[in-house]
Amino acid sequence: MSSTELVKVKNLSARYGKKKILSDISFELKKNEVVGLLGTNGCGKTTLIKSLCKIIPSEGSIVIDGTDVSSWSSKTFAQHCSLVPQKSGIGIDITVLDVVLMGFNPFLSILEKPSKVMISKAEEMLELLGLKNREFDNFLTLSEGQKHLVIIARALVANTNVLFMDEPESSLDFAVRYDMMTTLKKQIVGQDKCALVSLHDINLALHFCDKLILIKDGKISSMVDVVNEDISSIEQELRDIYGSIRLLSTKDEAGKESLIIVKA
Amino acid sequence: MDLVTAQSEQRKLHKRNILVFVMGGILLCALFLLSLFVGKYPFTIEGLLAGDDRQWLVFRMLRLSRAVVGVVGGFALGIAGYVYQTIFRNELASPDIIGVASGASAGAAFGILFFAGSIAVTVCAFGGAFLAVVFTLLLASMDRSGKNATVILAGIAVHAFAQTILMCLKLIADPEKELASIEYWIMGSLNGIDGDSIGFNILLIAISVVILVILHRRTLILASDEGEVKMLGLDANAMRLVVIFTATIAVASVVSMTGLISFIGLVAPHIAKRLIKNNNVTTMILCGITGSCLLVASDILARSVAATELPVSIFTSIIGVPFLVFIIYKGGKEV
Repeated sequence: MSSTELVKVKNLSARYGKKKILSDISFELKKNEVVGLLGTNGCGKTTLIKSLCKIIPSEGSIVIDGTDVSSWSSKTFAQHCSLVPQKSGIGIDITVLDVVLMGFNPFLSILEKPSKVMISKAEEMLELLGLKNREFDNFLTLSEGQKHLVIIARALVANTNVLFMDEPESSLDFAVRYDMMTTLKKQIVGQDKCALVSLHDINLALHFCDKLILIKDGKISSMVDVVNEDISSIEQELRDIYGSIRLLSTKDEAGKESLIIVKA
Repeated sequence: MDLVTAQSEQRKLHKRNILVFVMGGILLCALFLLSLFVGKYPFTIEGLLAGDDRQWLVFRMLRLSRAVVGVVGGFALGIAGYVYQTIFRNELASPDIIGVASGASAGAAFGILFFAGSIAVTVCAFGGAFLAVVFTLLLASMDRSGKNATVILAGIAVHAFAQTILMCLKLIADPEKELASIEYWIMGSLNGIDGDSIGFNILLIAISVVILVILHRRTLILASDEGEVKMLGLDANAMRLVVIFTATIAVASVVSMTGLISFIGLVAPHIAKRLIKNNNVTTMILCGITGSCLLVASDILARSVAATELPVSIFTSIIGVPFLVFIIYKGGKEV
């Protein structure tokens, strides 16, 4: 494993009962990379993220920070990796701040409570994600999108080297999802961390991700290098998943080139 | 809301929470003192100070132990109710949900039938409740998915089994003597609590409450999905079992002394959570104080409204329901 690799997955497979959902998944995540996980509904994206987080059993090898994770306790695992699930299951009255502070739990002993520094970090993260002065609101009274931002803040405050996110954009509006991804990128790039982000919004993936892992029927269909590959090659790989699509190239005000997908 | 408004709102909330806490504490102290002086055998402070042996005996054996069990028992039921409602993410959850009450009833009936003396009944009731919890958690642990629903389902199965045992024991009980004792025990009362036999139960309650307070932050995390709990650094199954087991031991320790006391575990957390606009360890402790107030007040009424003593559960409902309705009516709540 080279020093730039944070996650190395080899021959990973997973099943629900007798039904095989994932087979022979192998890839690497390097430092300072945001990697998108794309595929149609039911292709195995969530199962892959759950397998990587050891939430469901899987076969194959997962090496994180140079160590095989199979012997790690939940606490050790959570000290290295954070998860933003598709939907949080929190079902009790609790303040937004207390939800974000849960992110520090893997670093606290049983008798410790979050320090003042942790509280101010949580407040800063909420501010970065556009939830300033909402820290004492009841989590259950927030909109689905706001709840999701709180869960993202909870994962980001943990400051782990590896971040797994399962459709973090799903309940966010157009502007907020771009702001959220911008915040995420700032937390990863230049910080020697990496993120694997399952996305349905392909434009968001093309705009923010360095690489894309395309999943089809539980297998990796192709790996896309968004920065270095030419547009026709990326278009061809995406067509294999999404059918007849076209990629258009456009430039923003700063002259930065972006790709946009349209259904052909 | 701008920053200044948010901070002043927060300060207001904090002041209100402190006020609720102080008032709850004062109310509990007042009820405790009142509880010492209400009952059939009158005694006076002058008599106690004069060293009257008979008055001291009444005070120590009848009143003090009863008032202490009221405070400690209500506190444990309130906290256990809060823990159950949090961990099962269900506002209707109460300590009965995993069969502890029916286990204790079956155990008590066994003690009444086959052994003599109140200590034996207490020990058997505790044993029954303990076995019910162990069976429930063992059944639940067979399902590796660790879903909350599995624990509740296992609790329903154990409850049904314990009820069957209780029915069988009632069938063989003498209707004139033992059956009446079993029915009276099931109705719940703080009457006849033996001051010398409650030390172990109170110690168990104290240990359980301390553990639950220490695990409070983790209990809140358990109110999430399995995957989230795991990714927040907790072994969800193990932690859930520890918290449920500890809360249930506290409940078993109470009901083995008092018989079944309904409603406090359900209603005390609802009242406390509506009074205090937060959900942290102080909320948990306020649930305990609310439970204590409800039980001590109910016990005072149970022994003073009629010539004979009435079951305490009648009054826990009579006091608890209107108070809860009043608080719900007064307005919606935010954390």
